Amino acid sequence: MTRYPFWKYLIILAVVLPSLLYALPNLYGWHAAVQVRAPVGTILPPVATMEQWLQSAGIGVTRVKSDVQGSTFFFPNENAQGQAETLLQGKLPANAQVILSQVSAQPDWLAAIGGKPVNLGLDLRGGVYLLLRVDTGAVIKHAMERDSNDLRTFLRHENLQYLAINQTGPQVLTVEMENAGVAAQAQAAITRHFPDLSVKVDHGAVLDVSLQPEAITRMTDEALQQAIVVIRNRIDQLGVSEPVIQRQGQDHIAVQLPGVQDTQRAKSIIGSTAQLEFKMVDEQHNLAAALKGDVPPADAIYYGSNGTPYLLEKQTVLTGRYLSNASGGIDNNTGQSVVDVNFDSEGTRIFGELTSQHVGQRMAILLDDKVVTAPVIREAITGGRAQIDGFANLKEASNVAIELRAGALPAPVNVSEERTVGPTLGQDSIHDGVMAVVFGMAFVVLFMTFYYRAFGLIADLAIFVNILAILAVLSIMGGTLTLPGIAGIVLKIGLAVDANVLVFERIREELRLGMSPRAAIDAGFKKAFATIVDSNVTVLIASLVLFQFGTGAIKGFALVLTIGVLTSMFTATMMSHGIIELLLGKRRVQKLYL
Amino acid sequence: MELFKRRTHVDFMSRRWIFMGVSGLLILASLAVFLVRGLNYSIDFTGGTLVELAFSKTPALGDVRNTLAQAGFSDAVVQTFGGDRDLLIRLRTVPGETSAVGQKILNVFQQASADYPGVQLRRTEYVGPEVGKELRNKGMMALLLVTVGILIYVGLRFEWRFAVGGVVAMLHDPILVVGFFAVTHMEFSLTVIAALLVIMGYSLNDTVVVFDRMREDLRAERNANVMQVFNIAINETLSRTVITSFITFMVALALFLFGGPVIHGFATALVIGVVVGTYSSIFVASPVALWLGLRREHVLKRQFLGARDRNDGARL
Repeated sequence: MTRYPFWKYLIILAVVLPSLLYALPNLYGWHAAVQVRAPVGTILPPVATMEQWLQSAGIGVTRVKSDVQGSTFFFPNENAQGQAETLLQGKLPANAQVILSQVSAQPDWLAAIGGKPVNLGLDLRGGVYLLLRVDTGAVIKHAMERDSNDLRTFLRHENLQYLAINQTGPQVLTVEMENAGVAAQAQAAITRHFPDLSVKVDHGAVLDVSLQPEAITRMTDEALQQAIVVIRNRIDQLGVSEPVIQRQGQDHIAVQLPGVQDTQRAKSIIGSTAQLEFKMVDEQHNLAAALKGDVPPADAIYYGSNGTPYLLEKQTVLTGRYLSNASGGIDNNTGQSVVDVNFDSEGTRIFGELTSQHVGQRMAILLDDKVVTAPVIREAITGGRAQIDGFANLKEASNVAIELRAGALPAPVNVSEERTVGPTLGQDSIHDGVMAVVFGMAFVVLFMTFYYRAFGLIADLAIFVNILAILAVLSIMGGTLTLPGIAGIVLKIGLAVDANVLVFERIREELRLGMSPRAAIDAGFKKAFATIVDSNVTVLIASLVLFQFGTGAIKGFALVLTIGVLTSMFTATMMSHGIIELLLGKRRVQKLYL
Repeated sequence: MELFKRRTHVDFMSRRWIFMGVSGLLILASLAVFLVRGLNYSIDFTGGTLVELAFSKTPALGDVRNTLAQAGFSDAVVQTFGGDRDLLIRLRTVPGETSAVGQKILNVFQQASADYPGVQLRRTEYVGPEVGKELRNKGMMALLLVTVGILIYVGLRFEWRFAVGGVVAMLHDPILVVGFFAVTHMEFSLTVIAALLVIMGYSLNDTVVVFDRMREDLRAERNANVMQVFNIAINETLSRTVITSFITFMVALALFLFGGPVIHGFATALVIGVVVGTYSSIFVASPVALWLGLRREHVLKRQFLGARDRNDGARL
């Protein structure tokens, strides 16, 4: 049948068929859908009821799917999807998640064999990319403050007389002991009891206490991990489908929110520390005197969001850590925007004790060091519920509730990079990218056919398979297609034919030297192969480095280029050769259409 | 169809000093412009805020600048982007300024909605100053790593004189492209760096094909001297060089013409890069290898070490 070994055809089929199969999901497009989920303990109405709501509001539901995580409703278009989201959000409990999502329209059998369409990058889909820097310095600072308190208690308890404990550097406490003898004892005792601290004698009776480097690394790592968990919780509350939250380097967290348009809300919810604290108002001392500089040692001045000063006791009596739930709403009696909080059992006990001991006094509630409200305690509250008022509107109250439910960030975060792409730009970029692919490809296909005739058609087929293979690998790997990625495909079309050109030119050369067609084909493929490998490796090196160093969209470009280099080496050599041999069969060939 | 029916016999090598002189001058000029005029770095590197707005009808740039100045953004740089209904507004980062500036600018135009009906936010980008510095370092690091990686690979696969020639040609290309960006003051962004890396890969890809043939011919063509062999090899690969370069140039042009404004800088760098990359693999890489004193023995020695036929090397 052919002179080309059978096993090589098997390899070709083993590459080409999966490429076709796994590139296929990209043809089907997407369904607009809304997912409804709820955290454990929140009971959602039955699916039929929710469907009933939608239908009676005139929103057509094409399909409903339920599983353990929740239900997914499919809609004929994005308009209906948006209406459904608004309606469901209004009717479902506050902590239920209503997520706009896109579900691939591929048939079930494709999904069953692991097929999925390629992810589109933020630059094509629209959405927000945030690079957040976690202020790890603040974590260390807190740790030092805690340690200096603990040291005081510890030294007093051990009967080691100290004169002063001061923080003298960002990571150094200076402990002044009574005399050198006590200092030596203290050094030994502290080293024994505080494994995280390292103690050195500065001079005489003065000790330098600092955090061990390992402790600093551990605390930073913990803070980052905790921050990621909290941010993920908050994003889940925002109702974003397929968010990506990753640690990046020492103290950065990268967040990708596809499809999110209200960046301001996303940013404020993700970025606020949401440290809820309860402190007692000091009514023994004079606020006016304190403002002039006479602040009692156990007190500090805090301000409300409108600038009102408060004289509060420094000690925090209760924090947001003891909350079990929070929800925003309007108080029926006053009409004010409020946040209702529920304490967990420990919080209920502490709050009950506090309120019963301080009836008639004022308690300040602070969010991120700003006083939200400072109501008078009228009676002991033992039910574990409290209402915080003082919010500007319902939206603000709901946002704060989301932040409180998700927990406080361990340290403040700052936005160090932000990229937002609106949906219209994404659409335009897809259009531009597709146009470039179409024109680039059309040119190459026509040129190759014109210049190499039948062999050119084989090269065209190779390009086509190559693009499908790039799509298939990208889809299976869960890679992301970005606009530079599409540019990579266009560029790859050009670079990939180079291998075919090398082979065909070589064949022509051998023919000119008087070789028979068959021998020329063999020699052409054989001699060109080493050159093809050598020249592709250089591009491969560049694209691998790019993949390593690139961020976001550029990574997408590097990924496409890397996959493309590998697949094109196969399509241009083994596959093209196989097809040529298949077409020529075992006959004697007089002339090549080259 | 065949462009090169018969083998061409262009004598490239005897004119090598002219080409090396031209390249040398271009490199010096590029470096001079780069040093004196500098690059128009995008906010990827400088830090700052960029806002792209789409208007429903073409806005007057002067009015837009006034509106911005009244809102306190007097240092904003405004320019059209893509079509003339899209505007790009750029702000340098002021210390203490946060990423909220993008939103503020949109609000400014939305509040003046009578003058700008239907203004739409296309995208915003904010890059903090410390990130900009980091990205710049990363870009430089990537360029360095590609150079080293390719130097090692070509050094292993070819004789060192070839390797140096190839790397000189490879560095030649991005320098000229950077020179172009310095002269035109087109925006130099992260994607342009990506394009530079690809150009380096492409340039060497082209060079390696020619070198491969030279190595083969140095072994085969025993009657010609090195310079003649170089000419033979370049002429033999000329049809391939022309066709591949033409195709790559055309797809880069497709990106330039249809790829849209977002990747315009990237496509521009590619188009220029393909041209200089092709030029350098013929007119820079080979002359440098020759200049470094490449002789037949340098290539044969490697073959000789592994060759079974010892007479092969002795026939010199």
